[in-house]
Amino acid sequence: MTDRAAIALIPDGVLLLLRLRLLLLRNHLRQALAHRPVRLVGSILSIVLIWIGLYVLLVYTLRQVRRPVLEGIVATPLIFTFFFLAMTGMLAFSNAILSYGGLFRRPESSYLLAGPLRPRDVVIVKYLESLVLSSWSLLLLGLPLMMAMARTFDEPFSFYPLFLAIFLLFIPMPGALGLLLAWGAAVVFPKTPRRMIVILGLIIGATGAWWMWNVARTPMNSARWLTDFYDRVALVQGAMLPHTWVSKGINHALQGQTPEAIFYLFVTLANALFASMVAVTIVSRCFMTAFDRAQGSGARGARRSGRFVSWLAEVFFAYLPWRQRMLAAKDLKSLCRDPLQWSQMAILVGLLVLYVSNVQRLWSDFDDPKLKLLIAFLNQTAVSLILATFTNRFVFPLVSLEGQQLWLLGLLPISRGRIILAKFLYALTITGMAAVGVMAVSVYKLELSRPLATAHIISIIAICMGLCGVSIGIGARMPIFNERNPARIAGGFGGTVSLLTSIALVVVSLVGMGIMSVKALASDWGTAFSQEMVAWLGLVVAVNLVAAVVAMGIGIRHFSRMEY
Amino acid sequence: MAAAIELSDVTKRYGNFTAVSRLQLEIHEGELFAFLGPNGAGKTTTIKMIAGLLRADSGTVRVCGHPMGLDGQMAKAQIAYVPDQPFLYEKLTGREFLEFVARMYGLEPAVARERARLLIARLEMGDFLDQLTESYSHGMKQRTALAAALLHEPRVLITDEPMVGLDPRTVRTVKDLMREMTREGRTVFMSTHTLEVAEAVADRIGIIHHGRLVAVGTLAELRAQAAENASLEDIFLNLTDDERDASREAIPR
Repeated sequence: MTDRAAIALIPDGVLLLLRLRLLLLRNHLRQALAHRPVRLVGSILSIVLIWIGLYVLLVYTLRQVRRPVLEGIVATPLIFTFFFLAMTGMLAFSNAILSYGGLFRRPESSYLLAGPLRPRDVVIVKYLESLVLSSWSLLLLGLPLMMAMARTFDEPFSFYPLFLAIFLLFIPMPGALGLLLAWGAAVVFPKTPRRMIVILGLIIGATGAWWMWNVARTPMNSARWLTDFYDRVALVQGAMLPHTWVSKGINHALQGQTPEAIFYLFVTLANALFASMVAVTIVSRCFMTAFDRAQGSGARGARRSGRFVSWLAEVFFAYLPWRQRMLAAKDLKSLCRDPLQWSQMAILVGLLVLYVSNVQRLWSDFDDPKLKLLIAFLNQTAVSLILATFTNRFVFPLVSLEGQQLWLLGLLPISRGRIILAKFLYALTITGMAAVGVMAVSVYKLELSRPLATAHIISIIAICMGLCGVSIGIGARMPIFNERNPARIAGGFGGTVSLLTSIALVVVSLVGMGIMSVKALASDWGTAFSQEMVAWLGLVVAVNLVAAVVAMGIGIRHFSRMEY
Repeated sequence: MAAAIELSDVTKRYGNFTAVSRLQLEIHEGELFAFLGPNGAGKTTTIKMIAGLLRADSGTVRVCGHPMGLDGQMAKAQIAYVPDQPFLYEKLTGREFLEFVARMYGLEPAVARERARLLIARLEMGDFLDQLTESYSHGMKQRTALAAALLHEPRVLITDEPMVGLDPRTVRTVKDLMREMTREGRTVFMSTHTLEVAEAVADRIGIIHHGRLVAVGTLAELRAQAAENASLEDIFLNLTDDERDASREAIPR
């Protein structure tokens, strides 16, 4: 056979790779159903729970917005605008990270590119894959939003297909931007592409936060505020911006203006196709150059002294014996060198600090002690729930991630129980500093009395202890040693158990703190510790302590007996 | 004899670091070439340039007469590449993987089935081929990757450490397969640290050190170059001894 004849026989790579993806999905589902049905059902139940939670929250929010009719009419389109603006940013960055990993880091790319398939086919399939993977936004946010609207507004039936179509067609636009970002990162920053993507995201996020800060700076009851607000909002409502088309399309669909909605649907469709074509063409044409740069970057890694992080570890973990301090320092270095981890923590903590710093401005009758206590309780709820998700995502996988070096840990002159304890203290120190920092700003801004402030700080430390204990304990009891991806470890059965246990612990703690707050109101607005306050606070501390001790005990016992 | 692989004055840099420097190498059709070198010498970079995964900063790479640029599709259709850590889709069975590879190279289903049957028997893969590849040992993965690579009967097989993780029986089978390929006029480019394997099967041997080809030839020619009747191990250690090179440079002439 001649060379040209051999080339002519090579099939359409896109179809071939899409068929392969379907085969992989089928095998994956079959395996999950056959071997891990509980995990599958648990994952589906978790998604349903999140859907219901989001649905309830969105129904409540939309009803609040609609209550004063005039403001509702003004605010509803703005909500869509900001929602889709935020979605554009989130989807662009999640697609950038997914595309970068898929195109430049996974061994599959090398395998396919060494074969006869055209690079363009590989780029198209990876792009489609990242779009599907990022469509969680549609499933997770879009469907509850659509159902919440259905409950709140009297929209016509045409709203449902139009909403779904517009929402789906919106996804390729940030997706295309993400693909270009990934390619740009590989070409311009081949040594630290992910870090650059994350830093760019942080800069954009910080700019957005600064913008919101400026919007909120003027007193909200002044006429100037409304003028300023509209001036600033006009910036993000440009007629050439994708989120404007989508939000206008959905708003028209909501009001039964089907022709206008269809117009924006086609504007979105045309631009989605155009953006995809441009991104795929640019990336395909220069893909192998970017691939070459990304592959070559690994030949000589950046030199790191690690001195600063070692010094931080010496300060943060000074209370630990030196062997455990070394283990904690190793984990701290891993955290600092993984931009995905520290950036998520920085974003969450940053947003919380921004919120608690501005919380006074949101309420006109801020001097009411009942309101202050309510806000303090809500702040604690927000911090605790975020802590629960954070510990599940980042603390739970800590033990599993040691899978590759278990032999080394096993040879260390330190008991396995102490290794688990070191992980717990490391997690407690890091999450504790963040949580106590946010709560300290909260109680200071709310000008809570000293006993109430102390109670809130003590309770958040206790909740941190409980959550870290549960995550590390269950992580040691149900480790996944053959997985290197923390997100997949956290998404497994053990991670689901840990998340549900953590949420249950948070709910119990918050019930206790809620009752304590009520008791504080009854006794001189919490200006002094009453016996009942102390009792309820003590109960919250005890529950978290017991949860941590029991989970850690189970985890340490299992980990100590484990063979590897 | 026509050249199956030609590297002309090939240089590859990573920033300031030169991984491969002005490499000049020609490997003929029907030849089994063993590529040796210490860790970080530039073996894998060279292999990736031949496989079209990396671009040479200067110089040219040609495979079966076709330029292996970054989109050298004509050249890629003629080769098979098996890296040291072979890639397999974890959620495919070995059989499904072979079927996918056959489709990727446009093989007729009947031809693919027959070739797969022969390779499965030869590499003794029947026992595990219908399990998901995620459950395979390293040796099983190597055998599956090798079978997939040979399925479309490539004119050039490029393989990085093909014997690592294989049991002695399979090592023998792989050696035999590679020798058969060369007898049929096809070419094998093999990178390895196992000097005994190179000594036993290679027609010619190249030694790369610090990105430069420091020796190339048959074992007899290398012995002649080294001016001693040494083993390949001795020749390799002599040619790649940095301390000896440094002390030589330190001696005033």
